[in-house]
Amino acid sequence: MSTKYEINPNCAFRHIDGELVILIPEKQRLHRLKDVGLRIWELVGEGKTSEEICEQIVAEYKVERKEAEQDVKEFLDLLLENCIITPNINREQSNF
Amino acid sequence: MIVDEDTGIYNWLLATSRGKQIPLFGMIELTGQCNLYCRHCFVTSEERKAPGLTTQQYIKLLEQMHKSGTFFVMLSGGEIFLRTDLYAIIEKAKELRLSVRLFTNGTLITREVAHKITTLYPEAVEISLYGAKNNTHDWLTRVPGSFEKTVAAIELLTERGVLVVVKNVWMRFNWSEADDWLTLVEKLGGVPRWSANVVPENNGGLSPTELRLNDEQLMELYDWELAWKQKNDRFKNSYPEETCNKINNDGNNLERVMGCGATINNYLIDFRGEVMPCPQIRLSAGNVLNAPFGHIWKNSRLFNQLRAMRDLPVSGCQGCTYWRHCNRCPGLAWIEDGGFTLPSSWACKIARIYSEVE
Repeated sequence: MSTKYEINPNCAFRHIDGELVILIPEKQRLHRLKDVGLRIWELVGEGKTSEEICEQIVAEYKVERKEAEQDVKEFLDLLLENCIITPNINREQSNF
Repeated sequence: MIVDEDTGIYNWLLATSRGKQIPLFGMIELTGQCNLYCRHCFVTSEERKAPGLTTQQYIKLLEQMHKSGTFFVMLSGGEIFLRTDLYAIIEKAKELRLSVRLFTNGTLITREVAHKITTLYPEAVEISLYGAKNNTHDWLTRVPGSFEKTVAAIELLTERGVLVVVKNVWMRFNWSEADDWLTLVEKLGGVPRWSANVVPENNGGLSPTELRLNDEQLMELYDWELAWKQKNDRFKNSYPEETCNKINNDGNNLERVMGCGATINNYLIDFRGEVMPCPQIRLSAGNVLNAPFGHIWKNSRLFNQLRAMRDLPVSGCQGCTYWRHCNRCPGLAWIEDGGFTLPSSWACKIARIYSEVE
């Protein structure tokens, strides 16, 4: 199963000096994303599935597929845990 | 936002916006009109008539602010809930993914309004509560019943999970209620914040400053604050302590002329659309009805003059032994003491008293 996510519709964010600052009102927390983390967040915003995000990271950063899968999964879990993204339940897709 | 673990990110934001002169923090006064008549208010009777700009003008302004780099928007008044288009303005800010704080007296926040606020996800709602008893608060606001409504608003919001910053200005008449006020705010689920800075009217009128704490009360305030901070470590860095982003002068005693963020990463737009350095320095850099905000921010002669004097030492502060407790505001120095480059007599007084008590 490849999951789709969406950026938390309630959060505030803006790019500053090449990085992204995100404020989550529900959690009263500030976050800062850069480099690959920022790229993953952008791909979520573009509506990519977790598998598509992984493919894109492999292509852009020349990393091993297996390593990318693990890293992307962990990072998406972290974004979920902090309410930066939410699962897009209606758009979950099966690979099969 | 409560900045404890987030302090590093917040400090990076401050440093980056200062270094690049990004107008990160913008306050908009949406109206001069208010349903209370607070004795210490800095808005003049003439300004109280100003209705603010139109909805469309604010929508365009928010777009310009966003384009120029603003992230934190504070909506203030007058009383913002007197505007029937307030939700439309907030919704536009949220659409632009700006972080919104609402400054209000809370008296117009009913159950329905509280519910609506919850759906708009503001970063925080800041509500002024000037005492622990209804007659104290109502004496200051000159509106009987305002205390009950404000307290109810705080409760309606906190029970819905909204961060409510409950603000107070300690003055001669309400200082005796400090402990009870703190107990009340904590019971209501709010985050307490206070100041002793009663500021002059926007036209320079000094009558509000007659309400300031006397020397003995300032001494008591120092001890009271210290005791409270020791018990409440996590609020030491609660953002924004003030909206001024004062640069700490730890490590030297060279007070800067513009030690705050005004014109560097902070600004104010008043209810006529005039762009100003901050709520204290009521000098116009230009009007957003005549030029885009970004153009004014970058090119205003006033802003560039203030930026040029930013790091100059304040004449008269050299050699001062009270500097560790100095929280000089250039705006107050300008209004009360005659110039941006001078010491602020109010800051000097507090610093002297705090140094003596320490």
